Amino acid sequence: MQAIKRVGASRERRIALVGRRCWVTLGLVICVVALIGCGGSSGGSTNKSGGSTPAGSSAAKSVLRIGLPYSAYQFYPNPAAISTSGGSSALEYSIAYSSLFHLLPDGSTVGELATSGHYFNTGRGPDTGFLLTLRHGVEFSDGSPLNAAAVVDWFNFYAKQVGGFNGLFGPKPTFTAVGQWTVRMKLSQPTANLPRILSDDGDYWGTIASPKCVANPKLFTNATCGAGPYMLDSAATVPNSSYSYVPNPHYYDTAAVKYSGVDIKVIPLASSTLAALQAGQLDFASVGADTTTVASAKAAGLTVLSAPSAAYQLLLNLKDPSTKALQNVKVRQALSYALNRPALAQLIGAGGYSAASQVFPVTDVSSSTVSNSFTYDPAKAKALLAAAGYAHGLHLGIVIVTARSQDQKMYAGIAQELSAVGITTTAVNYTPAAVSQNAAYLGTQFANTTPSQYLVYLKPSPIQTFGTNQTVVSLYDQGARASNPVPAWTKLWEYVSKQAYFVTVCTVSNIWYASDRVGGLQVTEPRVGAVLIGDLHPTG
Amino acid sequence: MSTKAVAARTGPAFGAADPFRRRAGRMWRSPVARVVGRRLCLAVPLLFVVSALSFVLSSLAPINAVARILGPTGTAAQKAQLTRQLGLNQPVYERYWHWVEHALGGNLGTSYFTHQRVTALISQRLPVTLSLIIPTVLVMFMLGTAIGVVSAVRGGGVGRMLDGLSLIGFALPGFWVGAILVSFFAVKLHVFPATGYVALTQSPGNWARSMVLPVAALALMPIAVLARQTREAMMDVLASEHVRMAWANGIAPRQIVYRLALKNASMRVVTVGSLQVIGLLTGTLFVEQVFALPGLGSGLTSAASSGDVPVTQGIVVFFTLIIVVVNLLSDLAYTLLDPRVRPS
Repeated sequence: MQAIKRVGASRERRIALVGRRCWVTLGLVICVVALIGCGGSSGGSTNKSGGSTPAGSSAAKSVLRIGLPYSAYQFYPNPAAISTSGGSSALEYSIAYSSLFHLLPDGSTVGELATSGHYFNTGRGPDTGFLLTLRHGVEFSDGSPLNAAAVVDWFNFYAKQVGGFNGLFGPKPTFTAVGQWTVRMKLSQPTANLPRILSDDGDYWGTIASPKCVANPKLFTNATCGAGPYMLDSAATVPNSSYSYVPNPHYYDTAAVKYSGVDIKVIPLASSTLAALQAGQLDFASVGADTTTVASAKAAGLTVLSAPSAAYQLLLNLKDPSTKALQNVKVRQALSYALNRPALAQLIGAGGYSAASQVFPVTDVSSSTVSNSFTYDPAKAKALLAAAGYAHGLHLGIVIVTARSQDQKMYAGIAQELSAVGITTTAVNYTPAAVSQNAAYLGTQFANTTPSQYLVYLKPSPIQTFGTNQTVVSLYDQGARASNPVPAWTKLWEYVSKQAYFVTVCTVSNIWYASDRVGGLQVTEPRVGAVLIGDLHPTG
Repeated sequence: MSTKAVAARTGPAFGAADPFRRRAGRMWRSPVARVVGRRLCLAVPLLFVVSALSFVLSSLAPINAVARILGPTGTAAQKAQLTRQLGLNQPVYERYWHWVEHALGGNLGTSYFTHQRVTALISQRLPVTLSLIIPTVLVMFMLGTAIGVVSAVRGGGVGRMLDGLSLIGFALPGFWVGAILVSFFAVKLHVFPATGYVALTQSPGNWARSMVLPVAALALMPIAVLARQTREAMMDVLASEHVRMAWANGIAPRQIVYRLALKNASMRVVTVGSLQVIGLLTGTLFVEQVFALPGLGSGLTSAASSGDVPVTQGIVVFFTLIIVVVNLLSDLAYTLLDPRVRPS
């Protein structure tokens, strides 16, 4: 019996020894982790050699660290193929590509790669000829010079691209080099406000790429081909996750290069973006239209900036043969009066969405001058439906991307409010065929210039949704041919708004968070919420 | 008749005069070789089935890559042209067959959006995912087994505490744990970075720092599962007759715990551990998103959401290969740990 007790006591002692060893091992692991943790600070800006400098240090140029929810460059390595503009895509392209003109926050333009530009008479009518004078001594990041021939090559390349805004100047525009520094543009349709379109927040016509890449477009896959202040460091870049830029040694204005490099980190989650900013890993970031972290960002002392960059709307398809009711303007207006826009905007995220019924967005006509035509009035909606012969209501198929929770929420809200005035709806999952076979498509339309919006949504074409309306065409032409297009185009948008071809619900803002390490950020409506690299500088 | 005479009449007997054949025969009779051979044979149809399913599901998804590339300005003619360029006008089975033909030659295709080769994309992102998975596996086996063993051997308050901790770890989702770790260690203490990845070759110290929080977030649940399974397996073995006999015979406790109990319990640990390693691949999809790591998980998420079928396909097939390797390693571990185990 005593022997058994002795064995038991010894066993307990030894088991205790085993336990102690485990704890010692665990302690060692914790010490190693702690040592790793003390290996360097995550705060402050890093320089390109990989070391850390305190935040705000002016001893050496720091790296600008930006967070974006997605990368436009990833999806469109060739700027000629990009089909959206503004927002974070404009920022990304401005890092490595200079444009012919630079768009200032107030919406005016100044020369960048072009020193000047003016319209001239081509004999085809006003605003069809434009003469560009180029800056001397500019080189692309691959060392090739910017001259008239390079610009003409780019324009011709852009015009032939599939997608993008290549149809903006009408069919077969011509571009001619006049000497070494002048380019003559002859357009087949009047296009006003060309400096805005050729700017760094335009439609990438003015984002000139090197002739080497134009001759061999495969080069766009691994490199940037612009004349901007920085160039892509392909070796340090993982497409769609992180992009590293180094200064362009051939940049024409070296004094304007404020950073030793630019790092872009793609962070899809707004909460992770905020954490990275708070941890000092980013200098500023976009969270798109995600408003979930705005209050926390403000509480953390970050600067929150936003400006409308898109519209959330129902694109009505008047060409759908199964829904002839939509061809009646009263029915379309009834749809617009039936929606309680402030409640719908609140439904999908307060702060980033503002109720709006105008056909937003246009950047060359102040949105405040285009009236909000439709206030919430379900009684008026019912009366309009009755006047149009649909007193007992009607049924609409609405195409949505069912995988997007935001679309689902918005559709549910719209469906509920339309049913209150007797309009029933069915949600149809998005396919290209479904869009053409149903009454409406719920989606986001990006802000742009009137010529670009006209090209996509108003100009009679197979992709346009309401057919030919001579008043629309005439008002657009009046603006395009005028020395000041704003009055005619304001009338155009007011008219389109009252025709209710688009049932706009709210504007969508592009939201930016900035730390105190970066200065110069200006997020404005004329620039559709875009930030451009030239604005930014380190503080302190 | 002498042996030489028989050999001269019938030729050399199999394995008698050909050392290579003899070695090959011996090797094939070895259980390890049979396990490897069987697993590799099974991997071929598995890869075909997985790649076909993945291809069909990706192709049927309601995300239209052509519409995404062209945007709202794309005309019907442009859409038709791009559809032809990408080969999307062909039936799914034909496209899959082309993909298989190229894949057998080592070409997994090209991204619709970036025009980057999928093999290049995988090799670029693989180090990040391996940097996440390998330390997680090591931490999982070390801590999970240690906690399980201590909990089983010590019992009492410490055992209950460890048991409770493993239960908590089991209940907490990795992405939530990741967010909490970030808010404490990155935002408040500034000890570890909140997001991002530093290559091991660039700075080993910063690489380790960038991996601590993601590994912790990813490893928490597998550690809890493994600890619990180890504890239960250890307790079963410790209660068995032969272990009680060993105690009674005065065999050193260390030998009893490690040589008898843990070795016997390790079969279950390996089984559960290998399942957890496979589960880690799914975990990378979330953790790489939360920590903005440029690995295969985040690559797969963005490719799937944008309709980039070649990239989705390439990464899914690569993940399947990893699963095949993990299963192979666990089968090998069985044969090494317990010679009674033979491939059936």
